[in-house]
Amino acid sequence: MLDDDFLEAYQHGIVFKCCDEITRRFYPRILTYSADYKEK
Amino acid sequence: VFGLIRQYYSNELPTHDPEEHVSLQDLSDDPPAAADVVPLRFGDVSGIPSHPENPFYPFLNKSSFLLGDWYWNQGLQKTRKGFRSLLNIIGDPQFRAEDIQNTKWSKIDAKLKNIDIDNGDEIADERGAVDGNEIEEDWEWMDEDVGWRKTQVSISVPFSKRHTKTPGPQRFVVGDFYHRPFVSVIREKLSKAEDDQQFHYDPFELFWRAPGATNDMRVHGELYTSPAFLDVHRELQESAGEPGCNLPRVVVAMMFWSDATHLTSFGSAKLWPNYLYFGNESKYRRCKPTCHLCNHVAYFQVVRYLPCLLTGGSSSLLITCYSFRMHFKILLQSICVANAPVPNLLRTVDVNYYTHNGR
Repeated sequence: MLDDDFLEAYQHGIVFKCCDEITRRFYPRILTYSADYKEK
Repeated sequence: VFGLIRQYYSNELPTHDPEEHVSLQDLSDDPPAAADVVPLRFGDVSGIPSHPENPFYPFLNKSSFLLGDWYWNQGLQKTRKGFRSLLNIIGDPQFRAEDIQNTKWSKIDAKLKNIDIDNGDEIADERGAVDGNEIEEDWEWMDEDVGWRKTQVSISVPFSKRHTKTPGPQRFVVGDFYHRPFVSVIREKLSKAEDDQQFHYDPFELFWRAPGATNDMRVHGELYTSPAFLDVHRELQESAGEPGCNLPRVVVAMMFWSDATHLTSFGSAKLWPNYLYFGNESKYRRCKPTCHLCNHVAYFQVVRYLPCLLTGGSSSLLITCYSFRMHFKILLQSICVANAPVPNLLRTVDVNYYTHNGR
């Protein structure tokens, strides 16, 4: 998947008018909690 | 509440306070008061595209819809109850026999089969099942922004001399990989008013001072109060930004999960979904299934048949890992170009995968 849209959004953000009528620029980032139970 | 203090890193007060709207109801599993429950009505089913001119689509009219519903939803066996409901349908004064005379049932069934409930698309590659002259109409269903995409996953497999005359690596197609473009998932998220209200645009540090203590204590819990989120946020605010743009800049924290899921109580039907949650949303809401905050973004393919071609005990595991890695590569290809530390990320994925299986 060569997703140019996501690449564009990652670098330049996505301009979106939020529900409070304020327009913001959103930058996707990958963050996460890292935890797991050992199953065996 | 509870003497907790928030500290934002900004020159101005945040424009949006998601926690202003949080009620006890939002965080608990207690059933809401009966008056608050809005019954789901026909046409409310999210994702199924509305056809304002014909709410019964793909059925042409109400009479056909009721008969179709009777046929599919009455169970497998004939019952007295089922018979009575059939009599009710055709005995209704609004029922018009002429409405169903020209109904093309098999065509409608084919359409029903191709509707993707999650996002209202008809599955692209099965469009052939629909009559040729209707393709134009079906294109209206193909909202490119929300649709699933299909990519072929192929991996390079080493073959030994024993199995083939031309040993060496050969491409092997694992299967089709279904995934959703991230940008459309993000847009969909932000456009949902009920979600957006409680979506944290600005991360903050949370402190608590114990009674009698002189120092504040850092409270950890949410992703949007974590050092990682604050770092990324600060980095973004300090970066050059888009020329001529003064819009507030917001980090959308994407968190991925994945685990194999059994689909049935009996039998072995399995899916391997890739879930996406947003770290801008409270964990107390994310863990409530009724909030619908989980997004399915991909379905991984599991490699079958292949290990039998290979020798050595660890090969099959390696192949599985490799295939897993290829999936992630497809998902993350775009970020790769954006100079994010993808190699590290992929390594983490592999390592977790090993640990996860306890091998």
